[in-house]
Amino acid sequence: MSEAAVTCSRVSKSFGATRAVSNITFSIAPGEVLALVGENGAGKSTLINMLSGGFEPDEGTIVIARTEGERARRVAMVHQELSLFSNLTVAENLELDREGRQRMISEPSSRERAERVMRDLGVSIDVDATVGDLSVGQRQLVEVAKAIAIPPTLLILDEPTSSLEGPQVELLFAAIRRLSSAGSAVIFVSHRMQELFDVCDQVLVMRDGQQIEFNDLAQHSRQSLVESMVGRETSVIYSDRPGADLTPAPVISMEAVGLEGKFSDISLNFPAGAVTAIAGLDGHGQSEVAEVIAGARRPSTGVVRIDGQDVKLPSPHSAVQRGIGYIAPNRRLDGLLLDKSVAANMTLAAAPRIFRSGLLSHRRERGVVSQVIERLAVKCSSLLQPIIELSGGNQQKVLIGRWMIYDKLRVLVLNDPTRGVDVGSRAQIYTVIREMASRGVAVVLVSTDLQEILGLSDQVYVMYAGRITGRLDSDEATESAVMHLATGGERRE
Amino acid sequence: MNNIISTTSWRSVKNARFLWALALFLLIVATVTLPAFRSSVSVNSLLATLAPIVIISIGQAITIMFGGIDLSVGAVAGLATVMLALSGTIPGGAAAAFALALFSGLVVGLINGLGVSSGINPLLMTFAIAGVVQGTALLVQNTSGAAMPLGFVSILGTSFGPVPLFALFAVLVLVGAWLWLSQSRTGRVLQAAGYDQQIAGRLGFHVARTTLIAYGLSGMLAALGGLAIVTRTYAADALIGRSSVIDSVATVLVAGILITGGVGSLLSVLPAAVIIAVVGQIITLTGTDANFQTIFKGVLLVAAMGVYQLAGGSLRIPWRLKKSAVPANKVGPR
Repeated sequence: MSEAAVTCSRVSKSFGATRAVSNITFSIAPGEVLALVGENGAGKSTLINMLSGGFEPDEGTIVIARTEGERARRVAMVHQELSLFSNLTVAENLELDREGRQRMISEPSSRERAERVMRDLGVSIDVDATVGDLSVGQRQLVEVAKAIAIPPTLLILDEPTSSLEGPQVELLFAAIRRLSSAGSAVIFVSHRMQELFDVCDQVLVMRDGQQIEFNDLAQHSRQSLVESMVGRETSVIYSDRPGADLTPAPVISMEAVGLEGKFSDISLNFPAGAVTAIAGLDGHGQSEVAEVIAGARRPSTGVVRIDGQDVKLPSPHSAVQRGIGYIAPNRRLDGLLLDKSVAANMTLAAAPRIFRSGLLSHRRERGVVSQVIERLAVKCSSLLQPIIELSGGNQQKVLIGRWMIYDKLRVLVLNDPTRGVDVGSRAQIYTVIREMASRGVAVVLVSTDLQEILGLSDQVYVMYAGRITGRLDSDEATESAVMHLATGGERRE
Repeated sequence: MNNIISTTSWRSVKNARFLWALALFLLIVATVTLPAFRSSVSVNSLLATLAPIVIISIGQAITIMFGGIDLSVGAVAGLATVMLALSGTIPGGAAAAFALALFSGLVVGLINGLGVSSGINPLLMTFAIAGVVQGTALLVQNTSGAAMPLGFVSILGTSFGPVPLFALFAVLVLVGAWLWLSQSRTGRVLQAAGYDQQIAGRLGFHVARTTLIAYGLSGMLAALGGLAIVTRTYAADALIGRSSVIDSVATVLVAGILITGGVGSLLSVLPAAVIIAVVGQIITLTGTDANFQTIFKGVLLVAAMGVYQLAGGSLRIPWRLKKSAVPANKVGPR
């Protein structure tokens, strides 16, 4: 066997008192693909940051093989938050990344190179398009193209598929296989288990900064890998569905609602006590439907009814007044006061009811919040810890907890509630969603994660290109039936 | 589509076509309706006013493109005039004083750049330095034996017909700076880092070096602008650039360069400056109270921001230059 491409021996890193990564030892041969898995907060990001040179390890050594010939770069990384400049075009972004000796840029050669890189990846994105005008998925592909334009010794992909759709994921995998057969080592971080089994050879499991195992991936089944990650059995991450009654009059319904340029003629019913999912591929209008229900967007046509009465929801405030809670997909931007404490974030919606006099009472606050924290198993050092210090999964739990203590809640709109959330937290979030439904809340679930929709919902509406292409009951909803409708297929009788 | 200039630069120029049209329209209206405007004296004075504004605004535009701002341009322009007046007291005479003036601008710019790259807010840094520079210039102004080298200044003030030397020079600098920002590697990095400094840092760009270059250029161009003003006033005056800060910031923003950085075209500085200067000239020529000039600048700035906001849909997504940048059918997986 040839010299390893990457060798880590006994690598550790601490931030203050927290030991983020502790004693990690592994090596990857050229051409191997390593799956790096673990729950959120397990130390994966810290480890890959050390590999890419972002942090120095406190202890231990990282050796990355010398570059030779074609492989002109040692480490390339595809970040979870993308590193493209939205003000520049695709070609200009690729050009910036090129280690150039010449001081002036030749436009034709830069464009030609960008076209070649895109062609190699198998995507047809206009290299003269301004990156800000691309969809998230397209940007992610450009990011990948940028990373592999100069074949690296080690390629690190951090959640590269989070906003890609099926065919695009295939392109990415093809590119990974090409690179690895050309001798690059690859580290692949993903929460989507199936993808790991599709492309990876080895697996490194991390939990709480520790290395749990470093092994052949072939030794694992999906089930055993998840167990190894969370350290406990999670065979049932979706709790039982009692079989909700969909017959009573819906709490909230939409009739022939349309939003210019996003969707049209949407008629939906959301009965109390049931989880109603709106499924579809990313960007087919589901997210906008959720925003209309939450009062964040005003529909251009049609009516929204609550208890059979026509209502206008001109603002999120008015929606909350009517008992509609919303959890936005981007929790950091749209959901949380990042510098404020866990308790402050959680009591945000229910504050007027908890503190009737208008004055805050820390004792009351603590009483209410600590129950929810315990219920959701939020990992935080204290109720007063700033929420920005929590991991993504725990932040999401706080957001959901916010609506758990809002006793006027009648409708809960979840827009992609588990994006970037690890398996363990997911299970807890799912249980709570189920509980809310059994309390009589009408839950609206918008998600691009099909497993989540199938596992959680009592009825599924499927959208394609801004229209509803079908409604499925939970027993009819199978992966293939939903995908059929989501790709524009007609309803099969 | 132009093949040699970057697509983004080209697109920014195209986005500013309305501004060029407006400048042209104003010029035509003024030429047709005001006979006094057509006189070669008037043209000469208009161009002589324009030259320093354009030169200083180029520097300002570079810092704003980089996501910063330079509030010291006025003080630096004043300092440059004072430095030029030292020609009698230093060896080398006027030529050396000219170089000294530019060099002092560069030094002030580099100090600004050092402060900003060490994490001080550019607004604060350049504001504070403006005070330091102005004070220093006032002190130096009192040096005994300091006098404006009148012969040298009148050479700088040469006109070819009605066109002053500095006006030609301003256009040259403008086009040069535009090409540099668009086609040089450093210029690209400056645009990119101006748009998102965090990403630029993560990708390992030389952000600190770029900061020095941006503010250094701004300081040097401000000094050059001060020298351009001297060709009209023939006076060493530390306070000569009083209005340069507001003028240059207004020009750059009217030119459509986003205050948040990274978006816009340097070339648009020219029509923006022309609009402001032509209206000023009209106000002077028609005998209207000169205070209307100041009022006009303020109104224009707000109006321009309003128009850009409407045209861009919303300022929340400043990168959305134009919706049709991507033809829908050309994007996506095969």
